[in-house]
Amino acid sequence: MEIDCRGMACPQPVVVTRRALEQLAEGELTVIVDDPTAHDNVERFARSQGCSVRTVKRDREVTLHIRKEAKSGGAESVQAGAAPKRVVVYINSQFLGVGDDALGAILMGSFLKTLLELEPRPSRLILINSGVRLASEGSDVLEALGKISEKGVDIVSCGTCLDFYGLKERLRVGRISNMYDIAQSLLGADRIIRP
Amino acid sequence: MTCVIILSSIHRVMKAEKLLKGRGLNVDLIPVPREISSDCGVAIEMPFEMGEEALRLMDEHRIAVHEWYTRRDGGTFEKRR
Repeated sequence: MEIDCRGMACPQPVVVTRRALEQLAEGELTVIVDDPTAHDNVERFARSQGCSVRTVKRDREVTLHIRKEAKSGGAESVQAGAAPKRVVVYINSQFLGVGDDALGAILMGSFLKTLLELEPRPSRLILINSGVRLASEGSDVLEALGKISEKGVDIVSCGTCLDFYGLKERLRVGRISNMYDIAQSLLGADRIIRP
Repeated sequence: MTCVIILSSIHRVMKAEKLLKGRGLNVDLIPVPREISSDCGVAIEMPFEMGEEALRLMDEHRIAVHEWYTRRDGGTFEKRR
């Protein structure tokens, strides 16, 4: 949903935003304003309602991307309750997809950086075969993996694979694990993501 | 604050990354933030202070910049070109 509040006098932008947010059960509301005070007020109001806000400024114009999550405990919570609890991300290569490796490396970086911003967060991220290079010295995505780990995601690398690539001493993020542990967490997962 | 440079193709992004890293600029490839475009794409991000040098180098090597933004720590983007 998008509303255009350009040219509106205070407090009209907040009033219109409030009305739109009430109608929106879940999702993104885009609000365009052209006045710094309206920007501040709309952003403050949206945050006070528990929404997340991201903004883009183009000259005087500001676009606010307001994200509303579904309320828990409501009628829609039946579905939310059924959401998978243990999501495991299984990465079996340092490249994402099959094709050009340089492109595959960029796509993997994009995937991991995006994962960082999205919900629900996986409970575990498994790195296997050349995937272990991602968590080892010299990897371009160490920072992203570090942040994912800080958010409570258990990052595990296959010990045999680290050994094979000569990286056992160079693992920089997460912990070393074995096939029992990896197979067990795949078996116990509610959902497995294989990018 | 960081500088986010948007190019019009992945090939240009890869060429620019090679150029900038080769000149010792520690740039990072990031997915184009949702707020800027809904197209699938990759952008180049770097510390703000590095931006001027990066734009100069890209200009010198005729890598056309589509748009560039500054990003504050809070995530607010401001279009610069």
